[in-house]
Amino acid sequence: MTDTGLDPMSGQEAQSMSGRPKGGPTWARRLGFDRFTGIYIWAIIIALFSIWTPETFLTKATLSGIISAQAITAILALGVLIALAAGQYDLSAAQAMGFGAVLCTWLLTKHAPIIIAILITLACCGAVGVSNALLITKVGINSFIATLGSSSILLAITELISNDQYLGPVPTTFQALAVTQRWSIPILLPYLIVLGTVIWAVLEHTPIGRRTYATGASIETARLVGVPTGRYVAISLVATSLCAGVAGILLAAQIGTVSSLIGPSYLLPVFAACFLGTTQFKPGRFNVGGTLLALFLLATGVKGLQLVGGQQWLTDAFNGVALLVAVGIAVVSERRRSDA
Amino acid sequence: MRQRLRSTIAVSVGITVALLMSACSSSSSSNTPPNSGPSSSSASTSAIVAEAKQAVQKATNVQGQLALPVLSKAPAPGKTIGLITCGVPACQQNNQQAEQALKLLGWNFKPILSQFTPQSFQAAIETAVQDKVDGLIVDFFFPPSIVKAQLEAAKNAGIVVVATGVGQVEYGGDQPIQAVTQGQVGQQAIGKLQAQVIIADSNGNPGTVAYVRDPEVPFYVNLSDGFQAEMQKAGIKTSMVNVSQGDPTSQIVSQVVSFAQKTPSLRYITGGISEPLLTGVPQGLKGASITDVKIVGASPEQSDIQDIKNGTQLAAVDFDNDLAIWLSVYQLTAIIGGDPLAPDLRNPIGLHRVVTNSVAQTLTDDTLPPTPGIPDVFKAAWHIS
Repeated sequence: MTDTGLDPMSGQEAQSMSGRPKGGPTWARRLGFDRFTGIYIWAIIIALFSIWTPETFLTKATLSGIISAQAITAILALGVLIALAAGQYDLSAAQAMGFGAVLCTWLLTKHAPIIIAILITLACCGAVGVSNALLITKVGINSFIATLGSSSILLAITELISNDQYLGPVPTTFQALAVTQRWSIPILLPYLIVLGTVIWAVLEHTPIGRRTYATGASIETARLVGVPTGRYVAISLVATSLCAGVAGILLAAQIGTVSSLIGPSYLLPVFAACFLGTTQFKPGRFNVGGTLLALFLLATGVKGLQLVGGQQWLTDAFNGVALLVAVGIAVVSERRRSDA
Repeated sequence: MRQRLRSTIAVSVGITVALLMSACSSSSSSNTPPNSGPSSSSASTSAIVAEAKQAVQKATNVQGQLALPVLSKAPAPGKTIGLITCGVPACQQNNQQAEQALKLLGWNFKPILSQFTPQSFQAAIETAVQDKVDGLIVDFFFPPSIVKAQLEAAKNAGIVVVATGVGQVEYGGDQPIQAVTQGQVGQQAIGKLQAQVIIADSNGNPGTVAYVRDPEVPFYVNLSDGFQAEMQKAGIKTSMVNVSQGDPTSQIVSQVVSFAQKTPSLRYITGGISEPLLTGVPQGLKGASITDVKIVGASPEQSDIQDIKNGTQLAAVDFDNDLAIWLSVYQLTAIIGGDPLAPDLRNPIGLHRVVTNSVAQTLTDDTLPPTPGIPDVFKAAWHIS
């Protein structure tokens, strides 16, 4: 295993941010500004839009709309989180999702049985993870560079499969995997909850998770204490690609028609959510709760702005401001605690 | 340090308030207020409705509508034609059509790939100049001003340049661009036909109508201008839903569904192009339990035709990009061969088709057949037996 030099969270940084509070209790700490700013901001956003536009915001349609719009992004974000926890940037994740969506749709349009199409897609996406892992752990390429390269190769393969055409539609029975609703709750939510719970449990409550975090915090230190870092990096990259495959399959089912260009636009929101997530619940650590909170916080604000008729630039600005505000408050709060 | 935390919070609150105030003020400017119904006299409205129905009827069956003047002589073989193209599906379709048309003429085809960056677009035209092609079809995904110098260089090198998918541009005479297909006039005609589909279906009283577009793409702006002009003629106001086509599909869908949620009077949604602007919108509306909104697609893919068949989509207007490319090749053959090109062929409106449920039901493989007249009308014009 090689030290990438571009680890998402250096050991010193992670140690500093994840340390327990040193200072005495203050009103800010008591209110949990160092760990729960996102929840406060989310509550404020919900309250604000509930007062502002109650007839449209406080509806089941809003809830289901936010879940439908974010669940797939969230699944991809959870995948990226695993790689980040192991100290690796997987820039190919979004394109792997696009690849999965196109491959699955292509197989279905060739009349492959749904289960076969899903299994082949997952296997191919898993292979992408294996390939990334080999490039990073065996060849020794920086994860940033390796996954950037594989993203480009994946785009090329996706273009070949799609023949640069829109593919679809997918069969209705396949679409039901993503568009079914019960009591106005999209079926995507249970998928997200199950996947999120599994990833949370593994990362937070198993030796595998602890070693993954140790690898991400300081790969050299982890190696010196006997953690087989290469193995954990590889596992995390394969897990990321598998999550991307799941997200791709669900994306194909949700929208029915896909092209080779569908993936890349998801990259920034996913990384933004993961980094914003590090300011929540467990400051300084990529964590499932923080990432999901970040995604749904931003989505709620954007939805509210959309419902009151905000222009496109406003939603973009909101995303940026919310990210900076949440991170800013958490960082200042953390620094204050350290100084005390 | 406490002061710093307070400052952070104060700044945050300030920015948030500013954003929300912007949202308040922009809510009235970004989207036109919902329509309250036709305001023109009932006589003129019924004339517009009748015209719309006639136009839609005509566009559902364009058999025999394509006609071209026969050139004075058969084009000399062996010319090389470049096409500035891109990697998206629509561009690849253009490549196929250009290749077919040029093969009939015995001409060589040289596709030149450009990325979606101005520098790459400039470099692609420079490549065509270096390659000394005889003619060049430029699919404009950037304003012509970006490649002004390159087009001048092409003109100085004696390359005949024709444009497709371009907005407002000078052409003919001493200009570097000699002719245009799917130009501003053609794009506005597409928008007009989209409006006519809605006017005809609603008998001129469609409630609120939303047009989904990316305002940074001139093509969409021209389409929506044509749409809005026709709607205004009928006294119907249009609400523009501005999205960024670079955003994730789920975000675009969320924007459109949110607009539908906050606009209970909304009855029709249409947009610049079905994929990606309307991809997933039917499912999104269904998920939000909005069932009384009709979708009029644009440039339909297979999935759209299936949606039209099963009633999820009312209809779709086909831009006929294929015909635009064939017409570009025709323009090149005429100009290179020294034939005069009538004004309506230097910037033709095109032949746009409306795919309704009855049309879709006749399509066995859910794909539109080539425009009636391709390639026979062109072969006749080029003296090819």
